[in-house]
Amino acid sequence: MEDVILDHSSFDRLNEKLARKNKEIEILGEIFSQIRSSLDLDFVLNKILAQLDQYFSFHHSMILLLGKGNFLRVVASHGYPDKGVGAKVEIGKGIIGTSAKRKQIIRMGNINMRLQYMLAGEQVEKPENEIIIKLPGLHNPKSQVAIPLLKQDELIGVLSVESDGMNIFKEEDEQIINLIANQAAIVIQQAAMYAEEKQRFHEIEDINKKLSDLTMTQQNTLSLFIKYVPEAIVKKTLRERPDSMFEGEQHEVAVLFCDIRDFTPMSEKLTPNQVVTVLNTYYSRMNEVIRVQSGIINQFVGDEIFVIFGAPVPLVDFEERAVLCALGMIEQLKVINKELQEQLGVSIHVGIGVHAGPVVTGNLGCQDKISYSVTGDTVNTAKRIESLTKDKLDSILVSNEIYLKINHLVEANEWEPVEVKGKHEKVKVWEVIGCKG
Amino acid sequence: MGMGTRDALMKPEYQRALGARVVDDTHIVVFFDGPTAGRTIQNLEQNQMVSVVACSFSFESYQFKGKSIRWSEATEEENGFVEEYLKKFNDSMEVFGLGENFVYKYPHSKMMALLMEVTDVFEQTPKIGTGQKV
Amino acid sequence: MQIMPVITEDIKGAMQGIIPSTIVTCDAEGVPNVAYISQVYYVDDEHVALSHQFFNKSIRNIHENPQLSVCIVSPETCQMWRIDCKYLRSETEGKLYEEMSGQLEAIASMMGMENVFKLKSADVYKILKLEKI
Repeated sequence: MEDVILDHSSFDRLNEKLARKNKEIEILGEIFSQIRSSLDLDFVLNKILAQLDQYFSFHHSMILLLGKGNFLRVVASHGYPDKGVGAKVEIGKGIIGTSAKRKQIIRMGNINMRLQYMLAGEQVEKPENEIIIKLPGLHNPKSQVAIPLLKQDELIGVLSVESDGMNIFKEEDEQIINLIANQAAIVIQQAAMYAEEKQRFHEIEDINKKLSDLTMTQQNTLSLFIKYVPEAIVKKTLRERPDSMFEGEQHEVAVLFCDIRDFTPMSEKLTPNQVVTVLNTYYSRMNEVIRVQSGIINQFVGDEIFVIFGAPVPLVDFEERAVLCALGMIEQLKVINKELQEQLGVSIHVGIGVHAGPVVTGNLGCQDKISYSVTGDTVNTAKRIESLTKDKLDSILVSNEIYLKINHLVEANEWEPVEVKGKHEKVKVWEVIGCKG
Repeated sequence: MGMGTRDALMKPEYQRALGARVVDDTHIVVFFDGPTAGRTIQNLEQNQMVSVVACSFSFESYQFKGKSIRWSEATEEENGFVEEYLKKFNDSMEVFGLGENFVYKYPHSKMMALLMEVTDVFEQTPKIGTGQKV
Repeated sequence: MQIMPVITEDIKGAMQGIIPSTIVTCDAEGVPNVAYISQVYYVDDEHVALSHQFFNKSIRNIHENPQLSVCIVSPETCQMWRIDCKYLRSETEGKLYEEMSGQLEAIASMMGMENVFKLKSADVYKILKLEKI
């Protein structure tokens, strides 16, 4: 009969037990703080396993997490020659699989014997090959504990500890492993949530980047585009229906032509580079003036500038604007010439012709090449008027239609009426001198 | 290897046997440790019922049921037999990694030899229908 | 005064199924039956349990005569104990049944035979006497 004897040796044993318990609590505390210190899941899981070895001499262990389908996947392992990460265990198979399936701790010693015991039964139909299903872990584990990692009641994974020894896992070992397993489950949960957050954050960052890239691209494209096509036209075009893009429209507009006089002789004095520089300076300065008056540069053709006022965006005072623009251009030219004289010893002289009337505008061309075109009698007349300025440098000639609209603003001299191709009657022209007052 | 007896009130009692050998077609001798078999001997004195089971490591086992005839202290020769048995048993236990000389820890200070008349032999591998008469 | 047997760590160690245990039962006619079992399960300090998978002679005997003698061996110290117990009941659900079922399933599933080996019941026995051999 086993008696309960209270003697010194019993007390000693109890004290030993108490000391051990305290030590364990200490060690566990340390493990937990380590676990909590990092959100890097891989790091934490491997740390847990390393410490199971260090403090409790559990030399072989692994953590499996629930994956897609009916499988657990090894995510961390310790004490195996081949890390085995990624190896799969089907739920319900073996000690690990059964622990997962039943969400139950399974602790077993002398696994081999039990297998043999089971296989010894004859009347039971043995599996085709008596080979035990291959599972990750020790080739021939003698004892093992598998603990399910649960979040509330949901399975996250399994912690498995194996040993080559017959029986190294006692009840208290199970308790310790269980405690650590619970911590592991919490950490895995946290890490998963953190990873999810990080992922979402990256996704949002990604989307933001793409969006800003796109916007940037769009802006760049637009800027680039605008260089070739005036902004107003681009925007109008963007607003239009694709099929209406090729439709013609009729507008009342003012048309301005500005030509550089005797450009060729002048350009011969300069190097090609200088010519380009001169022209670009000229264009950009003129562009500024034109923009102020909401003129749309239809073309720069060599040394000719062709501007319209009142299309595609309608303007109420397009005649005024055209004339004011012309005056502004002449003024600006003086400034440019001052610079050019100083730098290159050349000057630019222009002639400007302005007329108003109906024009047909439209996107001329086809799918692959479109240009916004302005056509009609008005355009031809304006050109004709401009050509009359060739004898008087830096002069502005306007048609009667224009003059009637602006004579209250400017001083103008009447010129002899001129003939214009395609017109029966001679056309009255006026030279604009300057603003009144 | 184990043997079972029972008392007047049908209470069963287990005793480890450390070897057995066949005498003839219907008799075997079973060896057991005397000092730890107090109740077993009492049972045998009260009734003759005895069963002996022998098992191999593949869990193939046989049970011999029968009547005890007589028992006495083992002779020198019989003790030698028991030693042999222990040795063989110990060697095969190494496979299980239970530690050296595990088997020798079984009490065997004063071996007794029990002569038993075998009335039935049963095949006893663990499975459905275990216990079929052989 | 009956001093209740105390199940020490060592004894628990013997109930891990590391070393098979032996049981002796006895039928109504008084014929003893000796059998091996893989594990005697520790339930608490006053109870143990055996797994019932197949109906066999031992089970039959228990139904006729609920007295049981079990021998367990500690794999660490090689100490043997003999336990006299009395059959109380068979459980087919509950914590004990689940635990034993789980173990059985774990092993059986290693050979893909989890559907073959099923735990019929967890049989609970009361410890009457615990003796060191």
